Amino acid sequence: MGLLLTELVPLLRRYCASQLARYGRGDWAEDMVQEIMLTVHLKLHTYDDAMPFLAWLYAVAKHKIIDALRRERMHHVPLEEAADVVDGGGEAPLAQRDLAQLLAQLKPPAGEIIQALKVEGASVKALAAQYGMSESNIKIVVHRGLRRLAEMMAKERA
Amino acid sequence: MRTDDLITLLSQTPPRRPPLRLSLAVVVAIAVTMVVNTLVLGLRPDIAMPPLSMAYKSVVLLTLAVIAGGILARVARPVATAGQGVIAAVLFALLVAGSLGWEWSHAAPTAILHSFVLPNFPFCLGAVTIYGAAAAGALTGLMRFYAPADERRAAAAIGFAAAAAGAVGYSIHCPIDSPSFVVVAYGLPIAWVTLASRMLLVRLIRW
Repeated sequence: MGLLLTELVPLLRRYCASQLARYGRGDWAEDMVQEIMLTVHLKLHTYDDAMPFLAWLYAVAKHKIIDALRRERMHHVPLEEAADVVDGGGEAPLAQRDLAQLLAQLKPPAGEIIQALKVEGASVKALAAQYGMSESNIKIVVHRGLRRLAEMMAKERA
Repeated sequence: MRTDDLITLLSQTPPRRPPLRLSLAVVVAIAVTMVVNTLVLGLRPDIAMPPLSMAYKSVVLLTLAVIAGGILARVARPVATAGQGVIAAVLFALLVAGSLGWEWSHAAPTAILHSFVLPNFPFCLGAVTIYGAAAAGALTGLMRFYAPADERRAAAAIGFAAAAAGAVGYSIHCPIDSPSFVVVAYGLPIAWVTLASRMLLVRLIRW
């Protein structure tokens, strides 16, 4: 999975940058790449292996970009502020965030479990023993946490 | 969060187990509706010796549910896959039109229209709507695990499949098998559950 995502990043960066630049939102590219990668991880089962993978990937990317642009338009379009939004360079908020800060917003113990998996490299089995949960439950907590993380990223942008 | 951190995080996360297939979920919805219907409303009186007309009604409603389940499964992906939906829909329309034509050429209009003044008519409308709405709720929860390319279309497909499943479940209670009655008394609630789903469920299945 890691290899696949690593291979996808340059493609997604180029795609997001070119698409978002058309709407004056080139600075969102890195955040969008992250959001798309989370979505790829969560929705990979919707890929039909009879179809080209890149067609699926770009469909996911296109959907997320349109969704982000639509949400942004719904939330703030006052014309007088438009120039500020575009020129403000809008430092991508999430790209600057500390991972721990973001994970802390998840419902406990999802943040801790994801952090342990990522930072400490703990195994699912060890975490299951530590938290008194089954391995399946640990995986469910991680998946729900990732989904929540994706929602938080989406809301943050809106 | 840096993108590299995210890649590390995701690569250490086991892939999600695929959710229940939507076409299978429609079958489950039919089964559950049938059980609930049997427990709450009971079976039609002639279920032990069903007339041939009941087989017609069952075939029509089951075919509709299969078509709806197929549509639902196809619209749940970011890239819509090709299917035989148009051919199936045309064949289904021909089946219904043929049965309507046969009925209107063989039965008196007053006999056909009589079934619409019976209490069964509003009851059918209400029951299929309620079953359809309940099934739509369950299918919406499942659709959240998918990634429909067009969310409006997916929301409508949820309502269509749910109401079709509800209609199949309810049909084992209703003793009226007239093609005209089936088209109106089952078709109307299917249509409005589909329309209501298209308007109300879109926000719930965004991904």
